[in-house]
Order: sequence, then structure tokens, then C-alpha cells
Amino acid sequence: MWPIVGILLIGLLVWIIEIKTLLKSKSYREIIIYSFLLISGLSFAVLLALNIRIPTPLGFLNRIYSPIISSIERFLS
Amino acid sequence: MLEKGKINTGEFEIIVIIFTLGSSILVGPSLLASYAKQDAWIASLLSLMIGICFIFLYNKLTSFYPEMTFIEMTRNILGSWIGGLVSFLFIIYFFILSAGLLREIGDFLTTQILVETPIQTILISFILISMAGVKLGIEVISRTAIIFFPWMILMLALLFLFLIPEVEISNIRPIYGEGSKAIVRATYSSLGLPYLELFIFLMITPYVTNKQGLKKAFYKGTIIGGVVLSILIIFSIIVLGADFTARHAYPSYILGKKISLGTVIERLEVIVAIIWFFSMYFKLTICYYGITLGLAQLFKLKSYKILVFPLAFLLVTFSLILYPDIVYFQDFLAHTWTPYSLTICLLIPCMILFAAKVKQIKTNKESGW
Repeated sequence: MWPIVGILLIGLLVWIIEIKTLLKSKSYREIIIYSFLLISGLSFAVLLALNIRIPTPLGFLNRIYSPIISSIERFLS
Repeated sequence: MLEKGKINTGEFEIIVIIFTLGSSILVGPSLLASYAKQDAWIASLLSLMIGICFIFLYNKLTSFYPEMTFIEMTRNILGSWIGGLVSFLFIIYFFILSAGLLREIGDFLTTQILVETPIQTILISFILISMAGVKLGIEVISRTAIIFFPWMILMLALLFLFLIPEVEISNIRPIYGEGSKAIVRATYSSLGLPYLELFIFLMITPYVTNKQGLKKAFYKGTIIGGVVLSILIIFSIIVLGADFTARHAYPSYILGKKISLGTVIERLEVIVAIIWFFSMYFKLTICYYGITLGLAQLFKLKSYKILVFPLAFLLVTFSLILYPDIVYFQDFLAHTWTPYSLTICLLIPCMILFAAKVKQIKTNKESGW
């Protein structure tokens, strides 16, 4: 419970501080990208704090490269 | 221009050296020795020679558009859609690398030094220092590197000097005993770390003041870094033996434990840890800086500093998500990392170089040549 509150609190605090200067200079493109990155970071952090197992994206990479890897390793061994 | 800092060639050379040493100083010996046994040092020198070819390629790319970072270069050559896709792949690669570097620090500290500390504490405290560096820009990062570089050299020299009494030359024999296939296998898996990773320096080259000296500095930095790495591998083989080097996750850390001069100077493993922290810090900060600047240029933002904090959040979480455990991480490094690096850091620059040549010929024809 407490880790989630801490993560969200830190995220919200930094968001408020940084968004103020951005709003003043009216840079809306920055605001969208900044908020998107921060929200995705926060949601992953909360998932981690809840101990939910997220499948690693590297599994996808492993699957793409597995034919190349196996042929190279057969050639070199 | 998003970045107003300027660095000179000397500073550039030093950050290339530190980057090359980077994480390989601790992980390299074991990876190489697991394939080539006592011939690991031959494989290391071979991969340095191939690494120089990569630097040649990167230097060629920078000479086409010396005032542009890689992201601007791809947009200029391939247009905004395909260029954007290539830039995105570039950023994803270096994001995975940065998350991996952060995870390496966490794994090393939690298995060797701070055994009871949760890994999150280490990751967060390390990324905080790195964030400070990225916020201050490339000029401050390279000046800091200049301050720490003499200390790194001094500590490396001390390490090698103190290890001389422990040397057993018989450990390195038989030279070439494993045959050429084992050496080629080891060379192949050490290409991805660190030589292909030097691709990130295409984000920094536009800020080097002297463009003529840049190429020489890039070659020199890589060669010095690679030679130091090879010396370290030779030392870990002749002091610890090939078998032990292959079996342990951090053989150069164990090298420090072997030091004993009289009974006065004993167990200086922290020397290795300090060298590694410095090199790792700069490697992580340069990669982190590269992806931040790259994202800002990809989305045409006014300042890259705004992206530093959300990316730190993503890096910490993804260093835990991407690699569920240390075994998965080592397995990924040994098998998938090299082909993945080859596609991103060799195939893509080759294609872009080709496209740039075609474009050059086309514009020359149009202007009447």
C-alpha cells in the first residue's frame, strides 16, 4: 500500500512542478509527450509494487531472433 | 539546437575510452573465457580489430552530416516517416541497453557488496546521480569524466602492479589450444559489448568542436579502451586460470581479492569496484543522455530536459521488468544481444550510408555534374 502511495505522490509532485513552467510557455506538444511518458512509467511502477508479473518484452525479441541465433550457433560450434 | 554545450576532441576521446571500458570490465572476461578458455585474450584483440571497422563506418556517417545527430541525419536522408521508424528502433535499442546497465549495477551490488539492501534502493540512488548529469548536459558530463579519468588510470595501474606477484604464466598455455572455432565464437559474442554500442556517440559527435580531430579521437579512444580490456582479460586468465574465470560472474572483482603484498596490503577488491562504478556511471549517463536527446529531436521538442524525469521512472521500472532474474539477463546477453546489436548498429548505419551516397549522387546530377 505505502509504496504505491509514495510512487504516486512523487509522480504527482514532479508533474505539478514541471507542468507549471510548460503551461506558461504554452508548449502543448511537450505537455502531451511528458504526461504520456510519466503516466506509463507510473503505471508500470504501480504494477511492480503490486507484485504483478508482467511478461518481459525481451521474450518477443528472443522469438524474432531465435532462427538466426540457432543457425549461427550451429555454424560456430 | 537543443544542446548548446561544446566539447573538444580530448574530452571526446576520454569519454570514448571510459565508455569502451564500461560494463565489459566486469562482465567481459567471464563471457569470453566461457567460449575460448585460455585463448580469450586472442578473441578480445580480434574483436577490437573488428570494432575498429565499425568505428570506420560511424566516422563515414558523421562525415556526411557533421552538424547533425543520428536522429536528424535519418530524418534528412530517409524522410520523416521511415526516418522516424529507424530513429525509434535506435532509441528502443539504447533504452534496453540503459535498463540493462542499471540492472547490472543492481545485480552486482546486491550479490557482492550490499547483500541485504533491496535492489530498488540501489537502482533509484544510481539513477538520481545519472539524472543530475543528463540535466546538466554533455559539457558537464565530459568535464566530470576528465576529473575522474586520472583516478581510474591510477587504480587500474595499481591493480595490475599489485597482481604481478600472483601471476602464473602456465595458466595461459596451451596458446591456441581451443582451435579457431572457439575463438571465433568468443569474438562473435564480444562484438556486441562494447564495440557496437559505440553507435550512441553519433548523438554526441555534432557537439565536438574540431571535426578533423574527431575521427582520430574516436579511433584512438576505442583502441586504448580495447587494449586495456584485453590486458585485464589476460590478467584474469593468468592469475585465476581459464576455468575459474569462465565460472565466476565477476572474475575481475575476484582479481582484487587475490592481491596480497606481504601482509600489509590485502584484498583490494574495492579498487575494481570503484573503477567499475566510474566507468558504469559514464556509460549509463551517455546512453541515457542519448535517448533523452534522441526522443526530444524525434518529437521536435524545444528542450530535452523535460524528458529526463519520466525516462528515469521508465528506466528503473523497465530494468526490473525486462530482466526477471539474473539468469535470464546473462542468457539474453550471451545469445540474443549480439544479433540484435548487429541489426541495429551495423545493418542500419550501412543502409543509411548507402542511402546517403545515392542521395549525394542524385543531387550532384541535378546540379549539372
